[in-house]
Amino acid sequence: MALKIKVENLSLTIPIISPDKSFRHTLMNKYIGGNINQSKNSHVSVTALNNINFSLNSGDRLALVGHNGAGKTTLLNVLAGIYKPTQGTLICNGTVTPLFNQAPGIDKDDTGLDNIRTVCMFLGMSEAEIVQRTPDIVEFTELQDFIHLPVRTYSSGMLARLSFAIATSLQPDILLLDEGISVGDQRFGHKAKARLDKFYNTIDVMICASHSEQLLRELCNKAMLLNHGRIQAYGDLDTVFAAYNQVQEAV
Amino acid sequence: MENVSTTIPIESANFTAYESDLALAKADVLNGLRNFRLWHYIALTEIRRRYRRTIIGPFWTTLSIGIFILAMSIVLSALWNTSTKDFLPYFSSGYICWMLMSNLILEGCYTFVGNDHYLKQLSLPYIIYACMTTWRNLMVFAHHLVIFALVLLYCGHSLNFNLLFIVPGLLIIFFTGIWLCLLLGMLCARYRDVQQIITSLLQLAMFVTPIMWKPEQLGPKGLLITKINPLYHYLSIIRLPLLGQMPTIENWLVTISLSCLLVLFTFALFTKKYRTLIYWL
Repeated sequence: MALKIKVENLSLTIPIISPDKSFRHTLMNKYIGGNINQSKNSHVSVTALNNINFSLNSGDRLALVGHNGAGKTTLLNVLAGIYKPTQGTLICNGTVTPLFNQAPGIDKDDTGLDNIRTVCMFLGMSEAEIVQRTPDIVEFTELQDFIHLPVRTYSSGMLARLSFAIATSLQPDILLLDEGISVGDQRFGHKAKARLDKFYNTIDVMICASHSEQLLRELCNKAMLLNHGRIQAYGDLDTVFAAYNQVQEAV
Repeated sequence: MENVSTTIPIESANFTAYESDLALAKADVLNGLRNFRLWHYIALTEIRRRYRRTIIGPFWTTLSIGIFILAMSIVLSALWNTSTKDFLPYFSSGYICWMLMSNLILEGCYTFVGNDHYLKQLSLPYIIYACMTTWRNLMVFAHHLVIFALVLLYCGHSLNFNLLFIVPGLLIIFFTGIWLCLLLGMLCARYRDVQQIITSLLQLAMFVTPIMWKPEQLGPKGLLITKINPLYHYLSIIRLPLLGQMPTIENWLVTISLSCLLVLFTFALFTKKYRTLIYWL
């Protein structure tokens, strides 16, 4: 089994910049002594992740659970490379694709085809890959001639289908999901389910944060319970969910 | 930041492990500059979006600049007592080049603030956003050159081989622009006031830079202004070739050395703030 992700002693501290600590204060601090100076060294910061350790191999599907603000999304952001860790080590072996918002870069005034290209470009596809996958995406959306019209003319179901089709055309090694991928309208559900299953099967490693136990049980084979930025429980789904439910009841 | 350990990615990791700030910043710059395909595409898409459903597209700005140049030339040539045909090429070339520089500075402030939705979702190299802003403005500049071509036709001036000197000039502007956008983007993301300061300073800068007037008109004082105003040198390296003159050695030396200083300073700041930049947005 190939090691895909290794996280060691990872901590993340996020500095908070309040509006009153802006330019004026920086200038003031230089020229006015005394009381304002006091605030100079007391930077407000939040320790969002604290000493996180885990590793994932090929085939692992990790569920991230925890309360609001427990650090689930922050951890995903660190794995995606959006936040850089303050301390510790992170090794990701393979292409990491974050799908937090289903399609980054969608513009309502662009046509469906243009949007497919934009999203694919942002997600790092090569020209050949875009050319190769576009017909498949277009066919799956069942948008037919609508694909040449601006996205703002689409119904919300059509838009959901488009972003779903683009997202599931990816072939990432490591997939990061926040609250799964939504399928869109009911009629479409059956066809989408088949495509989604196929998509999930091609992925090597997946990490999914969600509040829905049902979704996570369907997708994942491992789980991690985060609490105040620390790992509280890690292991198989049953143990972690038992711990999670215990914490919830205590609250 | 303290205690950042260095790691080596196993096998052929596409996504590297965390290294020193310097290594991160260096990788960002190299990977970003190399990804021409992406920043060219975003720049083009943005121009397309801005003028969607207009018939003449980016030429709308060209048209408004053209009208401004024409009107001001009539007024100013009367004021300076020269013929419009003499004054038009000088003023139009200056104004078009000035628009490029001032737009680079103004839009540079939005490099990160204006793209925060991408920055918070994707881990693309930060410098890509600076390349994109610079490249977009160069493409818009190319549209404005139409005005200058029309002016030349009207005035009966012809171009000469000195025009070729615009190539190194634009290259300098391009590379300086990328680093300027990076610097301004960082400053404006951290201190939102900077943008306001720059906007008001730029208005002033347009009048103390010889665009509407010639340095000779001010006598010795004018020469002093042009010597100490760095914007004048940047302006000269692209304007003089358009007017069929060769930029002076001084123009090139000043711009190249200033640009090198800018790159060094910006890269140092970028390295230092690489990990914190995202939290400013």
